[in-house]
Amino acid sequence: MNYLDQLLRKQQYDFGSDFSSRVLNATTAIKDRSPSVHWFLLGAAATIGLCALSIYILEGHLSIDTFLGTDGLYNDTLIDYLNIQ
Amino acid sequence: MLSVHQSDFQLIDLAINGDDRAFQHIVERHQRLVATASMNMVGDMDIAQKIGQQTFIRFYKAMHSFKKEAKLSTYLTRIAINLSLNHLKRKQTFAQRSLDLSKAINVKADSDTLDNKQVVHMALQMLDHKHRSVVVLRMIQGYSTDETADILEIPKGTVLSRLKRGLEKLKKHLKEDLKYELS
Repeated sequence: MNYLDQLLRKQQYDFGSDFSSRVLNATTAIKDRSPSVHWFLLGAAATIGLCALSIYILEGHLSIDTFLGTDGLYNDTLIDYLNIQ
Repeated sequence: MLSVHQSDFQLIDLAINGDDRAFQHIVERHQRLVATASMNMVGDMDIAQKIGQQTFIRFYKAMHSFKKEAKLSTYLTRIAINLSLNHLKRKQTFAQRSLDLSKAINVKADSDTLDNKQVVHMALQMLDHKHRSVVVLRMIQGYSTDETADILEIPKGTVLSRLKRGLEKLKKHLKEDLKYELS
């Protein structure tokens, strides 16, 4: 190994003893900011549940048509449209 | 229970399951190699620390998809080198490079008390990015030619030619610009 190789081998650095704690603080902040996927799925499920409940209260029953808001369309608008045709 | 004998992969599994101490262990184990890569590349400890933090944060975010056939040290070095190169491309305009070079020469003129490490550090900063990255990985960090080619995503032949050219330039900077005798 020549002299330059030896000099280059000595170009080692260190970030200091508190570096890992600072990284850990940064990753904890990320964790706190970004909720995990299961909370997102739970939120979506709760939203759909609340929608279904409010439709049931308003309409008195719950079906795919009432949920999608197409029951009125089928009975009124679409039949009228077909009659005109 | 954490121990120093646990492999990187065991620590990663623990960290994925929410063990912060395991992640801290990974950082402690590998921070030196990340510091060496980034500091030799960017030449400034404050910037190197930011790049170091970014390196581990990126790894933290991608930890779940980390393929265990790769070595963690190589993976982290690749992130650190890429972030350093991005930083240099963004910030290091030609004018800044010239300024840095003249600053380095002035430091030599002002003081003869610089130690070997500081002089070699200055000479390294005078190399262009592509030569510097190869010299840092091969000669300072001790990666093989294959590993260096893999980290930089360049052919093996390019690593060898850049290394030869990089070392020639480094010697030239040491002798001519910094008046340093390689004995």
